[in-house]
Amino acid sequence: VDPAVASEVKAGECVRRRRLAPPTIGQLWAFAAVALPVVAALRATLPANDLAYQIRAGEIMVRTHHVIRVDPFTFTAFGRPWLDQQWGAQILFDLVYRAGGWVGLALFRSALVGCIYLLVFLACRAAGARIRTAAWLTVAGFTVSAGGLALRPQLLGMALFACVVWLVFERHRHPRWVWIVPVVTALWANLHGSFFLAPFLLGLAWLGDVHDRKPRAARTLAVALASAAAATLNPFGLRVWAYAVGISTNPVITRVITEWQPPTVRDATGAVFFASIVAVAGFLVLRARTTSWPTLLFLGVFVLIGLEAVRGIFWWGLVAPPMVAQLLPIGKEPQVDRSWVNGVFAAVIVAVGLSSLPLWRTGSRTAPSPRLVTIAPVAVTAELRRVLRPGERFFDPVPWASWFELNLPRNPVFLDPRIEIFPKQILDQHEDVSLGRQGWQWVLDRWGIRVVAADRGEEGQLIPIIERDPGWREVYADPEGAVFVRIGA
Amino acid sequence: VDAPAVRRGLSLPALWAFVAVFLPVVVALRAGLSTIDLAYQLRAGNFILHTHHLVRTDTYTFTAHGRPWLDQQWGAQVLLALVNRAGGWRWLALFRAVVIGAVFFFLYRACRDAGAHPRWAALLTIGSFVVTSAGLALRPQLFGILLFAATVWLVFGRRRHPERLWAIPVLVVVWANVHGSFFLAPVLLGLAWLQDLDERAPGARRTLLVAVVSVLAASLNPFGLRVWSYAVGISTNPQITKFVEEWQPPTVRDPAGALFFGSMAAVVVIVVLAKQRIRWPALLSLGLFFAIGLFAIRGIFWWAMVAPVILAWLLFADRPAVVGPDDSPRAINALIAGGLVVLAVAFLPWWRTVAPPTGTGLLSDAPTALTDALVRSVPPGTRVFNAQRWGSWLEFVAPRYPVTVDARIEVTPARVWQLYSKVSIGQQGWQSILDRWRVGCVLAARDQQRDLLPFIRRDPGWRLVSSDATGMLFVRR
Repeated sequence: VDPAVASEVKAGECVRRRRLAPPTIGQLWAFAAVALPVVAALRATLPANDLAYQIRAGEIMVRTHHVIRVDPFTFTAFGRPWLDQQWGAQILFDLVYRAGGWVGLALFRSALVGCIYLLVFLACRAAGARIRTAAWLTVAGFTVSAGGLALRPQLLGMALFACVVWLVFERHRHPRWVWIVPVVTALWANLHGSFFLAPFLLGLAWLGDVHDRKPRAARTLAVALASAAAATLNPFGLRVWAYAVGISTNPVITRVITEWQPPTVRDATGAVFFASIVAVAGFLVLRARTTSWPTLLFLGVFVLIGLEAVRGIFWWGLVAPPMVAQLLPIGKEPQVDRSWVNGVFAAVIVAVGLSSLPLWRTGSRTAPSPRLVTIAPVAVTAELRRVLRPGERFFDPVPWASWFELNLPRNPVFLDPRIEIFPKQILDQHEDVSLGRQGWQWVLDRWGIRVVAADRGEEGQLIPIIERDPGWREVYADPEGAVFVRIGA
Repeated sequence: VDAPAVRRGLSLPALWAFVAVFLPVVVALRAGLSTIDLAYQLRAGNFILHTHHLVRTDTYTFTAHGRPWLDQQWGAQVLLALVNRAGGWRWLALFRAVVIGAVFFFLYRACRDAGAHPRWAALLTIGSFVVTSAGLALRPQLFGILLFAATVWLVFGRRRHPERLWAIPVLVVVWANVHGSFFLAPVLLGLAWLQDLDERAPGARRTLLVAVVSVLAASLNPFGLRVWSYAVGISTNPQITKFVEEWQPPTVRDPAGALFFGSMAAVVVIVVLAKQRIRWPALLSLGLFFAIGLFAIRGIFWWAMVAPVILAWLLFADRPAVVGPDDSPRAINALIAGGLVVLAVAFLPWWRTVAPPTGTGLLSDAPTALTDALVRSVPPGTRVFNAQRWGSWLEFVAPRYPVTVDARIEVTPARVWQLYSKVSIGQQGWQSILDRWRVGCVLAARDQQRDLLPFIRRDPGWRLVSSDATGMLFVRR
C-alpha cells in the first residue's frame, strides 16, 4: 500500500474517531451553560407590549426609508417629537417578522439569548474560571437576568453588553480585541439607550488597570474615550446621550413603569437579585485573599444600578459572573473524562429544546397562539376591527397599545408604552378614565371617543362603572377584557 | 514642684461616649412628634387607666365598631398615657428623647463590650443612629427598640457577664406587653447560641436555656400565646404590607432605604478591606437581620442596631484595648460636650408651640384648626370620613366623632379599605359610598384626598366649612 495513501486513511480514521468520540464533562458543562438559557428562551412566550409597536415602527421606516421623528401612533401625541433612538432594532425586528412571523422572532430571541450566555461563559473563562465554574457562574447569571430576556431592543443591548464584558475581560490576553468595543458601541447607540455602559465598563476596567499597574492602562482609557465618541454615530448625534439620561430620570417613567421601579425582595426578580448580592458579599467576606478597591467599586456600581431599577438588575446578572470568576483561585482543569453519559445529558437538553420549539405553537400573525405571544388580546382586537371606523380613535389600555398599533394600524390609540413622549396632562386623563374617576366621561367626550377597550386588570375599576353607565353599551366581553361603544353615536 | 498638674475637663474617650449617646438625644429634642401612631395609644391608655380593663373591641371607628382588637401594646399605651397625664405633649417629647438616649447608651455599651475602642464604639453608635433615625417616633415600637438594644447589650456582654443574660426573659415579659417585636429576643439568643457552639464557648447551654425561657416568658401577657399569632399576622397582613409605608420593602430611592443599603455596603467593604476572617454565625446574623430589613422599612432598625455591634465584635474582639496619649482630660472636650448640652436646652419642647393653627409646631399630623372647626360646626356623634393619617389624632382630641379609618390597619376590614380608596381617589360613585356610610362630614387631607378635593368642592351636596394648608372640612348640606 502506498504509504501516502495509508497515512491519509489513518488521518481520516483519526478524524472520524474524534468525531464519534463522546463529549468530555467540560464540553457538557460548556454546552449546558449556553443551551439551558436557550431552551428556557424557547419555552418562554413573547410579550407583545414592548415588541409589537417596534415592528410597526420598523415597517414604516423600511417602507419610507426615513427614520421616524414624530409620533405616528396615537391621537394624543400625534406629531409630537419622538427621538426614536431604537430605530436600528425596530428595522431588525421588522425584517425578522417579515421573514418568519412570530415564530421567527421567537427563534431570533433564543439565538440572541444563546449569544448572550455564550459571551458570559467566555468572559468567565477569560477571567480565569475553570470550565465547570464558568458554567455554574453563567447559569447563575442567567437566573438573575432571566427577567430581562423579553424580545425588545434591550435584548440587543444585553447581547452587546455581554460582548463588551467579554472583550474587557480578554483585554490582557488579546489587547487588540478591545478596539472592537467602539465599533460595538456605534452599533449599540442605534439599537438601545444602554450604549453608555460600554465606555462605563471600560472606565472601570481602566481603574483596575491603573491599580494593578498594567502596562496597557492607557490603551483601555483611549478605547473608553473612543467608545464614548463612537456613540455619537447615529441619526440623532449627541442627543442620544440626553435621551439615555432623560429616560432613566424621567419621574413619570420611574414612578409608573414596573421595571423602572427599584427592586424589592417581594418580587421574584428582586429576591433573586438580593440573594445574588448576599452570595457575592458572602464570597468576598469569606475569601482568604484581599479584594482591591477597583473590584469593589466595579461590583458596587453595578449593584447600585440594580438597586435603582429592576431593569438595572440584568446588567448585574451579566457582569457579576466574570467578576467573581476573576476572584476565584485559578485551578487546573480536571483530566479529560469522555463519557457517553455526557452525550446522553446533552442529547436530553437538545430534545427538550426541540420539543420547546415555537414551531409547535404557531397560529397566524394576527392571531398567534397565546402560548407563543402574550399581552395580545386577539379576540378584543377582532371586535375592535369590527366596530371601529377607518381612522377612528379609541381608548386603549397601555399594555395592549403596542399590539393594537401593529394590528389596527389605521386606528390611533390614546396612550402607549412610550410614556416619555406624552405630556403629564394626557397621562392624568388616561388615568382618570382607567380608574373611573368622576368626570371620566368628560375625557372621552373631549377627545370624541366612541369606542373603549378595557383590560380587566388595568381598567378593573372602570369596567363596573362603564357597565352601569347609560351612555355606553358593552359589545364584547371575555376573561381578558371588554369593548364598549357609545350609545347613539 | 514636679508634681503633675491636675487637669480639668473631659477625656477624649468620655467625650466620644457622651457624643454617641447625647447626639441622638439632641436630634430627638429637635424633631417633632407625629400623632399618627401616638394619639390613639393615649386614648387607649386613658381608657385602660380609667376602667382598669383592657380594650378588646374597636370603639373608635364606625366601620369596624365592635370588631375584635388584640391590643397587644396595652402596656405601652398605659405608660404613654401616664406621661401625657403628667405633663402633656411636651413631657412626651422629653420622654421620647430620654428613651432614645437609653437606646444608644445600650448600643454604645454593647459596642464597647464587644471590644471596640470608645472612638470606634461612638462612631458605630452614631452610624446606627443615622440609619435608625427614621424609626424613632414615639410609639410602642420605640419601647421595642429600647428593649432590643438592651438585649443586644446583654447578649454581646455574655462572655464577661454571663449571669446578666438571665435579665433577658424579664425584658421579654415587658416586651410582650408593649410591642409585637418581642420575638427578636429569642432570635438574638438563638444566634448567640450558634456562635457559642461554633466557638466552643463554655456558656452555650446557658444561652440556649435563656432563649427557651425567653420564648416561654413571652406568653406572660393578657393574650397568652395569641401574641405570637398577632406578631406573625401583623407582618403578613396584606393590607398592611400593601398600604402602610413603613411596611413597604426599602428601596434605594427612599432616604431610609438608601441609608440601609449604604450601611450594608459599608459593612461589606469594612470587613473585606479589614482582612478579618468572619465566622459563619456572624455572617448568618448579619444575613438574617439584612433579610429582615429587606422585607420592610421598619425592619431596617433592627439591622442598624445589630450590625454595628457585630462589626465591633469582628474588628476588635481579639485586639487589646488601646489607651491613647490623648486620654487625659481636656477643657476643649468639656466645651464640646457643653455645647451639645446648650443645644439640647435650646431644643427643649417648652420653647415650642404644641400645635399651632398654621405653621409647624411640636406635633405633626395634628390639624388643630380643622379639628376646632369640626367640633364647632358638627354635632357630636356625626360620622366623619377622614384622611387615614388623621384618624389617630381625631380619636384622641375629638373622641365623640366616630371616624372611618385610622392607623390600626389590621382592625379595619379589607372591603372598607377598598371603599376608602375609591372615595379618596374621587371615583365615580364616591357620594353613594358616603351616603351608605351615613357620613356627615369629610375631613380631607390635601395629599391623601388630592383627587377627591376638586370634586367634593364642586358637589352641591357638600359645603366647605374650613380650609387650611393641610386640608379641608366639608359638611353635608
